[in-house]
This record gives sequence, C-alpha cells and structure tokens, in this order.
Amino acid sequence: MENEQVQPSYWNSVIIASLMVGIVVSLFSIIGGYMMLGNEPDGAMFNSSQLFQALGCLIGAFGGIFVNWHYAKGYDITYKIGKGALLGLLVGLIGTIFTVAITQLWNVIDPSYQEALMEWSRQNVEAMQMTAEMKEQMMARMEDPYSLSNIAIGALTMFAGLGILNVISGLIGAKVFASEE
Amino acid sequence: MVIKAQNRMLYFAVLAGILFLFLAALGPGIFSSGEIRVNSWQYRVFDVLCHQDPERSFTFSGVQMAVCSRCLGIYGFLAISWTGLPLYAYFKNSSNNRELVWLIIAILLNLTDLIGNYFEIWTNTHTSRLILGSLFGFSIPLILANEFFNLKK
Repeated sequence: MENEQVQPSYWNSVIIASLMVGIVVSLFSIIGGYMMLGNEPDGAMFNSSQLFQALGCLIGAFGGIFVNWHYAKGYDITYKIGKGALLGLLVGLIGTIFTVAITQLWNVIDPSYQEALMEWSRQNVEAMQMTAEMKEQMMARMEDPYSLSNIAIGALTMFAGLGILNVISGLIGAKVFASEE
Repeated sequence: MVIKAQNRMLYFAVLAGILFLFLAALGPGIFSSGEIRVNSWQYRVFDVLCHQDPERSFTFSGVQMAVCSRCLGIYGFLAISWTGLPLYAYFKNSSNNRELVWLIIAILLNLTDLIGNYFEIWTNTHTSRLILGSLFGFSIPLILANEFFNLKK
C-alpha cells in the first residue's frame, strides 16, 4: 500500500535515470557508427557494429529499474506498482529525447559523421547481391538524417521499443525496491 | 477459490504494449512476403534493441524477422507468460516466492550462453538461443503475478 503522507517529487530521479539512458544509448550508438565506418562495406544487410549499438539500448531498457531504485531508496519510501510503471515510461520518453538531443549535438561536433555514415550505406547497398532495380529502390529510401520528420519518426520508433521495455523494467523495479512486502 | 484482479488498466495496457512488441518482432513478413524492406517500421522499432543479424534470425514468409532468435523467444514468451498470469496466480503456491530466483537464473543462463559462444567454447543454434530467450521472457511477468491477481478463498 502507498504511504499515506505526501510523497516527494520523483522528477529528480527521472531526470537522472533519463540522462543515464540517453548517454548510454547515444554513446553506444555513436561508437557503433564509428566501428561501422572502420569496416569496409561488404553488402551485408546488417553488420556487427549493430550488436554494440543494441547492447547500449538494452542497458537503457533497465532505466525503469534504476529510476525506481533511486527514488525508493533515496527517500526510503514505498508505493504502488503503477507508479513504478509511470516512472519507467517517463524514463523511456525523456531518455529518448536525451538520446536524440545528444546524437544531434554530436552532428554539430563532428559534421562529417552523418555524411560518412550515409556514404558508407550507399557503398554497402552497391555491394549487395540484388538487382539494380532493388538497389535503386533502397537508395531512394535512404533518408536524410537531418530532416526533422525523419528525426521525429526515428525518435517515435525508438520510444515505442524503449518506452514499453522501461515500463516493464519499471514494474519490476517497483516490485523489488518499493514494495511493502 | 476465485481470482481477484487488481490494477486491471495497467495489466491490459502492458499487455497491449507487449503484444505490439511481439507483432513487430515477427517483422514485415506477417503483412507480405518477398521484397526486402530494410526500412520497415518493424526493423526500426528494434534497430537499437537487437543486432538483427540475418544469420541469427528466423524468417516469416521468406522475410527476415525484426529480431534475432533469442529476442523472438524473449518477446514471444513474454506475451504468453503475461497473458497467462491469471492462470499462474491461480496455481501459484503463495508461500513460495521463487520467481526472482528463476529470473536471475534465466539471465545467467543467457549470459553464460553468450560468453561461451563468444569465446567459441560452444556454438549456439537458432533453437538453443530461442529456448534460452524464451526462459528469460517467460520468467519476467511471473515476478509480478501477485501485483495483478490474487487468490481469494
């Protein structure tokens, strides 16, 4: 059962956890991008650097556990599991915003990064074992990384995965760290 | 004995989210077959969550799924386990709370498999990764059973 008294604000914990998620996910993503640029395009649909990028995001999916640990232990309180889910959802949402912001900031720090990734992807499509027509279609579908709509769609799809996983990890975090049992 | 449900809205909201993830994990092949669609939304949802290596993924209608075989096990059995929570709560022995131990064992098994395969001590397969992922996915909701369903005598 939730404590009767007014509980302290959770925003401090949410911002800290979101920042952690944003830094981890974007750092692994950027390093993974440079790892990809270090390899020759071989025509593979997916590449080994994605394993590294996925690792970062999987760590980010544990943000829901971290925020509940930080909030419950920091204030020594207990609360209902629904609040744990809410904290996880907020971390997924704000963590996604931080990730997009850090990635865009990196594009300012190293403007050649996105261009190099696009060029690498073009060469990779060229090396793929498929018809010229299919290659043309894939080239046409390659998106402008600076387009606002593409950034928004990327953020939305990232939130769909990261948000749901952080809700589940938030439920577990609340159960483990904030339950009265 | 009857099952008493609580936090119903939260249960169904999470169920919807998990079913969405599972359907997305099956990839674009559930809607059509043939053409490669590397920019499909299913791939984009998971491109930061899974390595999506074609050599480690199943296909659906001839199209690569959006996640690897281990992740398919995780999301698939997460959905099955979450859906079956009322049944689990009905048969659960309230005096034993071993679900957290099962979850930790499932995580350790997957980590051991990853490490063993990475250092080439053994070579895992689609099936072994699917089974180990399934154990992990299945054990996650069980820890939360009492938060949603309780036996009322």
